[in-house]
Amino acid sequence: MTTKWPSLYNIGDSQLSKKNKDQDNIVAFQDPKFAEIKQIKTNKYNGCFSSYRKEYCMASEPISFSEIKSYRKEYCMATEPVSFSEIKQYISRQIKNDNRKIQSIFSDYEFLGSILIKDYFQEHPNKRKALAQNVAKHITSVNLVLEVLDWGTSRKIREGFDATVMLLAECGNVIISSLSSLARRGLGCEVLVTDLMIICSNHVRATSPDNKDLLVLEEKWEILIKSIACSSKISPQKRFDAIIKLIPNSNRRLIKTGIIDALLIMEDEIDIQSIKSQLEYFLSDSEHDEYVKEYAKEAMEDM
Amino acid sequence: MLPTLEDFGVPTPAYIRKIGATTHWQQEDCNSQQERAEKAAARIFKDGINSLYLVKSDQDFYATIVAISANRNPKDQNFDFIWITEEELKEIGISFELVIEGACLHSQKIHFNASIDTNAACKLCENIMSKNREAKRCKRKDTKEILNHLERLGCKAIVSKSPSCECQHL
Repeated sequence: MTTKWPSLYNIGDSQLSKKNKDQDNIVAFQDPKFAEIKQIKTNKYNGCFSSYRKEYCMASEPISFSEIKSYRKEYCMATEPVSFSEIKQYISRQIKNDNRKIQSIFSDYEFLGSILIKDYFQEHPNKRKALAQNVAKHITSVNLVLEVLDWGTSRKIREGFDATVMLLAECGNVIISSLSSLARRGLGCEVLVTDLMIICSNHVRATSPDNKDLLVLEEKWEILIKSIACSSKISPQKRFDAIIKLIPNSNRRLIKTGIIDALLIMEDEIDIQSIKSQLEYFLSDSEHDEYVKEYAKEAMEDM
Repeated sequence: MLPTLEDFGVPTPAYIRKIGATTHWQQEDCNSQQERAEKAAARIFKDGINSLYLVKSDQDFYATIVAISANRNPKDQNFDFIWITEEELKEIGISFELVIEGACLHSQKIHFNASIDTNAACKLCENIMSKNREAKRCKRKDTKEILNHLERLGCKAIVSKSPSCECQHL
């Protein structure tokens, strides 16, 4: 299902763990300063990195790969008592001494995207809109799209629904191309559909933990569908095609009404008859949910 | 013609809670009111702080829509919501306080932060559902009209550099 990303702090730990296994970096671990860095690196987020985040978010163009690498290294190693210049010198010294570079277990782009996504959702709802466009530039993989959905469906995030739709809608083609590429690999979109079907076929009830999974999955689908409909960066026809492809597989009320809402969102951009013909599907006898039928009927009348 | 609270059957005063979609209030496969309330609560309320807007007039309602729409993209979407009375919040023991939030000067005066946990959210939803209250939808075209109306007034949530805003005096 969705990829669970480690938290910022876990990322640091993972990297330390990896380095620990790597005999090439043994020198770094023997240095007492390194232990100090590990101990207090939990301060890094509130400290030095907040300034980086601002730089990333305010940047008019995506940051170059070399810049990311540079920032990431500083970020991973930065601590309160050690100044940046000291850290730079320290890293340089280690690299020079070992004649090796510190390796990352994550792609730099995903690492940065993951940080920015977390920042975005932890911001006050009123401040997210200003960040969305620039954060979206860094959401370049399916993993990150799924991570956005994880955040957006968390019960801890205020106004997560609208925030997620707004962010994913800014990602533009990445959403559809991600879904397409995942579908080819048998993941992503199809995985969500499959999971949903499995859970539904298990006849789970509200009291079982699995039912919570079902609710979350439904919510993710609903958000994805709406995000695609809202994305002004994808051509209307491409959005329309992506959404109507989901109709035959939709077997849950929330997803069906989500599709109906999505079609209505596009009513100014897509030929009305094309939308109506899709809505007909939910008005036919094959639709057994009276609520959905009524919903589609009302949508049809509104057009 | 701008929609009114009366059109939505919302009595005043009432607290407005914006929801993702009216379907969140009408979840499927529910064997009991309690189950329906649990599912709805999980979608409508977050653990912790939740925004509520106190509406006593149509202008309050418009300010609510503009304040929330300012954090949406596109702004002119369906605006789905439920309404709750002060008594209903107090019955469950939900605490709430006036907190200035958002760019709309009018909405700043009617925005409340309510502290709601999972248990309280379920109880609140179950209580409201037992009164057969339905979720409401301010349709996209109506949302658009409201936003256009407030833009003409110079609402700072829409026109960020607006020199003055009439809506605060309404």
